[in-house]
Amino acid sequence: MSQTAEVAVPGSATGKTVSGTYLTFQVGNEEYGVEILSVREIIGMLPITPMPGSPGVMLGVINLRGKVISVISMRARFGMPLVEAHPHNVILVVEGGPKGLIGLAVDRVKEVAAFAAKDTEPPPSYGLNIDASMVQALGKNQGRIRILLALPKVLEAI
Amino acid sequence: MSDNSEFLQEFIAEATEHLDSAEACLLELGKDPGKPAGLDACFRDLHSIKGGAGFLDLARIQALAHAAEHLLSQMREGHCICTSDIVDALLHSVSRLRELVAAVGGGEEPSPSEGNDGPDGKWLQRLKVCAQTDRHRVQDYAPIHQSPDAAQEATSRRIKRTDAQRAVRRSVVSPDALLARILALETDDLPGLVDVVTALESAAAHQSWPDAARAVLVRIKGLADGLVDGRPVPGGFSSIYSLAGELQGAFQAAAPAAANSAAVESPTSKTEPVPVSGGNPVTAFTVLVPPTPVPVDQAQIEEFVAEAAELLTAAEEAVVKSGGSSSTDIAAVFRTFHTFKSMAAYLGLTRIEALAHRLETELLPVRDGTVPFSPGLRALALAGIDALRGLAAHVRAQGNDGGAWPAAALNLATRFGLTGDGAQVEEPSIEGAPPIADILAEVGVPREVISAEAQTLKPGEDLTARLVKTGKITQAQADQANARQQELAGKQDSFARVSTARLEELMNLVGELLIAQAMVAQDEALPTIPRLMQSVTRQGRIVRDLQALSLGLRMVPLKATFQKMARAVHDAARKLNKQVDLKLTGEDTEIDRTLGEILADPLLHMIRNAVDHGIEMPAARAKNGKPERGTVHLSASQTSDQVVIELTDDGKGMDPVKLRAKAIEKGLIPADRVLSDKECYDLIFLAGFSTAEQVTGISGRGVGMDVVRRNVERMKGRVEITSQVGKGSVFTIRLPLTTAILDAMSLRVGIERFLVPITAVVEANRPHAGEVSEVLGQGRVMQARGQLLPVVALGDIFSLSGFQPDPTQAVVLVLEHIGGRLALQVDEILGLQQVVIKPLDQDTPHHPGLAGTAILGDGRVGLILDPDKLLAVQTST
Repeated sequence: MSQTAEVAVPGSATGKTVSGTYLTFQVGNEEYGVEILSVREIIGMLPITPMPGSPGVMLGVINLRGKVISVISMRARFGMPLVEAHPHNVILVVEGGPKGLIGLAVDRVKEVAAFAAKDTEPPPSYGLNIDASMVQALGKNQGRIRILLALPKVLEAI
Repeated sequence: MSDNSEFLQEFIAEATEHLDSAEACLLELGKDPGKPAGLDACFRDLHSIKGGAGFLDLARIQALAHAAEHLLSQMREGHCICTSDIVDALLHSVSRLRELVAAVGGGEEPSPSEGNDGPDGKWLQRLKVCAQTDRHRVQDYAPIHQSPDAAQEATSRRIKRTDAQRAVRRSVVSPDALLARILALETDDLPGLVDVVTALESAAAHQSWPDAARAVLVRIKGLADGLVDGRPVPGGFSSIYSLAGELQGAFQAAAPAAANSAAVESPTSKTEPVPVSGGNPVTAFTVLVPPTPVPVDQAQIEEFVAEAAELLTAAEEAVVKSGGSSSTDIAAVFRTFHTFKSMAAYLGLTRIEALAHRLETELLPVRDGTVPFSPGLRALALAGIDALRGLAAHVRAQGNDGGAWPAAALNLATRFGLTGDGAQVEEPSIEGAPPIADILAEVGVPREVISAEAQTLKPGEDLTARLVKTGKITQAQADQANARQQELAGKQDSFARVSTARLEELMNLVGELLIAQAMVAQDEALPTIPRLMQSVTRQGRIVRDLQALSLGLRMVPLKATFQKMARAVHDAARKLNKQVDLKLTGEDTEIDRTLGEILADPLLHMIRNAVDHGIEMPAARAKNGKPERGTVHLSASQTSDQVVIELTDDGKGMDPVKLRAKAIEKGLIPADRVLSDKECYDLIFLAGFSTAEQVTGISGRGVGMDVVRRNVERMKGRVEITSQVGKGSVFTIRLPLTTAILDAMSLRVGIERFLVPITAVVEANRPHAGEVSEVLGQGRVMQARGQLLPVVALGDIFSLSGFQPDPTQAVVLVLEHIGGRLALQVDEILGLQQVVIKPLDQDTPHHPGLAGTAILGDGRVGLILDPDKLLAVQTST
């Protein structure tokens, strides 16, 4: 959310660092983060209706209390193979700006983590398994590396 | 802007309503110029728009509404006769106002003024010209195409001349009425000022004014001239207000004796006109208007009270806010009192008028900036707001402004010396109940008896008790009426504006509740717990009621759509020089909000066609023994599941033979095609069909009716035509009650489920081995009722997996769509169900063959097929 004061301009564009509070989640073996303010709610897996004519990363639509919203598979978005459903799988419902609410299907939710500017680094130009344009910064604290995502770029896929 | 955005939205919504109602009134007026009731309502509508626009500083809207209002008031007072030109000018101004309001709604910054050459200027000019054209000079007004300057000059010349004439012809306008006009002037309303000054001069010429007053008049004239010439004037435009005060003072000084005996000054048109014969001192300021109740239309009172509540709340907020004494807030408060005054004067609510006038006078120096908005004055303004509120409630309860002063207003009224001796506090009336007088009338007591007694009612005295005492009614009747009033208390219908987004949300949640409830109700464990079972059943009923209610929220009366038609008939008839009456019935029939919007377009086409092609010229009608005025009848009614809209005209009707010949001539059908009469009428729905010999500005280009049919079909409705040569035609539109609910057939393909509108399904069967044949390179085809149809598997269209590929093992649905028929192969038909449609928006990427989604009984999302688009995709691939 560009309105929040503490979040600086995405590092990839300016070379500056990023700070803020992120909700982190796991997809495959990596841990990723999205700004907590853009997350509306976290729901367990619901029956998903595939939507003919939609791009491959879109799993389909779900009924979120009477509202029909699209769900993106983060595995597909990151170019990973889809796997069997697991009870830990959840859907993060995020504010997709003009696109309204959008669900992100992830393997499991990890934690809410705060990153100070000193904890983050601009995304490296190589060595990432995913499309670098989706990455806002790398968060390094608690001895782990988390990939902080630029949500609008992630949602560009649909 | 952001501070005001809430007000602005409110204003736009209200202004739109007012414009609609004004337009309806004007159309009425056009039909019957002698009908003053319409004029009054229209006047009030424009007045409200002016007030609202003033409050929000929307100068252009304000100016135009003011001009229209002024013209209407001239007509109301009989200074100007109602001609079709005037009505036309007013209608166009209303249209222009609509545009302006829409522009404001679209976030366009309203520019303060664009002079006389802009689109507003043209109408302003025309309205002004109309207003100045008196009944003997109808031909005389300046054409609109004249250069703005020339027109302006012509107007001001005419102001002088006509005002002088008017002054002689009827009794001279009383100076206090003119003063009120000065006070009502918006800042920098120069033409208005010139107008008033000219009127003042002519009044002075025909009345014996005190010398002091004449001296002030000279200064006023000087100020006005200076302003008109663009010279710098000390104090600027607003010094006119203090000069008006001085003028008033001069009059009051000249008539002290009368003023002393006065309890109330009433500076309104209610004052006696001053006799033209000179010599008598001007008595206008000293005429007493005792607070006698004036019978007024209850509906107008209701409207007044509603508007009053809004005005007062806004004013209250402004007073509380103007701790920093911001000039806009003070101006807003001042305007509120002023608006109040004029509304009350209009309705003959003398006490409210008097009180509002006094408050306005007290605040005048504050508005002009000569006196700061002191805490004392603020308290006064707030007390005034409370008092007016009390009076408005009193009027609401009692139906008039007479009787005892309500408690809330008594204090202030005493302070202003508005109460007579022995005024007492009125018993608080029953909140929300209709006036007892109305109830008495309902139970059969004659109105005259009631109002006669009510007028002489002593403060604090009960009307029913009095009527019993004077033997007009029995005690039993009185008890009955009182009980009825108690019963009705709080039963008044009131309305709230709610955004459609919130309604949508509500309906979503109710739908979910229904599903959640069904899950509980169908739980296997439930029958084992009888008590719980009972509660769940009860709950189920409530949820279903709730759903019915929430679906009803989407429904709106057709009235708004129909009223637009009235305008279309008026315009078209005027343009074509025909005489057409539009009769509307069943306007209260309700229809889904979205349908109402889509319906407007096709109806408009059809109405124009009816006036243009259906109704003959007056002379032709007379020759055929028909009344010269044609009638177009638009009616709506509701059956169990449909809304039926009928458009009937008594015009020349359609000849099936001619229609067919025309279609053949245009190459739309082969020359040897045999058609039934009904099929001949349907020809007019073909694109490019027009029988009009001449293309008129209204219709005849042959693009209308095919659009009509397409629009109606888009709403899942149908159009039918019947006609009789020489008698007229009937167009019948049948629409589903709502687009929100769809009767659908649910289908299975692989593990996925889909819904298809039941109206599109012609038949469903499992073809035998011989019925489906493979055509080389073109896929499968099958015979269905003598027609060869392409067979398409839904699974192929949507690239699904795991579906039954063999048509003889599957089910084939024959679907009807706009372009023809299609055989759709699916795995299984699951059943029929009613679903609530949720349209798919652009943000959800989807196949074009999908019309929307619906939440199924188990909470999953189901996809609704669009047979029209399915085919489009199928043929293109």
